[in-house]
Amino acid sequence: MKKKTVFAALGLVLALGLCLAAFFLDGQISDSTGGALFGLGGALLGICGTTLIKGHIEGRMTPEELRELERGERDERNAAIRDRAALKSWYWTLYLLWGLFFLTLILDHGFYFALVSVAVTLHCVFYLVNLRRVAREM
Amino acid sequence: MTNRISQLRRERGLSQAELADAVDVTRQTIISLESGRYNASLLLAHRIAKFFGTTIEDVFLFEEERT
Repeated sequence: MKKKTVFAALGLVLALGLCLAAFFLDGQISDSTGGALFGLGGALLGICGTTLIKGHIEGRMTPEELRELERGERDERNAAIRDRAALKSWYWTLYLLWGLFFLTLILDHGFYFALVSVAVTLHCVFYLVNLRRVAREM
Repeated sequence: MTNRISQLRRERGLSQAELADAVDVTRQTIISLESGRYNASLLLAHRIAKFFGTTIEDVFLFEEERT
């Protein structure tokens, strides 16, 4: 069995454990801890589940279909599409964050305003960091 | 930028899938290149020209952009 599949299966068990723990410990732990457990479990469930399903589908493919799939992943047009989509998504997220920034400012929600401000700052800082990293690579 | 990929491919009796296979891209990329919706990288342009046994300038026709 592939290492990736083993890790994904273990992750799935862990994810279910986290979700069940959050469910059965309801009332004994704080709401925020329960929410965090559910959130983490859900995220892990999504990632590991997708990995397992992908592995299962790829395992049933013919060598020709697998080669086609690999080619599609390294195809330069597909890579350009992914890059452009990622950049557009970055801008959409930024507009959304700016919207939330002004909304929290107008509604005077101090905590959420601070939270959104940090998110906007990090969003832009990550962009600048990656700009510098990519510029060094080229 | 325009190109002669479709013409060169037809002259050699190749399908888009066969050309895609030969230059290691997807068939969709060949379709996009032929219709002019996508411009190949220098690396891919080189691979395509090499496959047709010609030069990049012979396959890809560069035009000065008017501003």
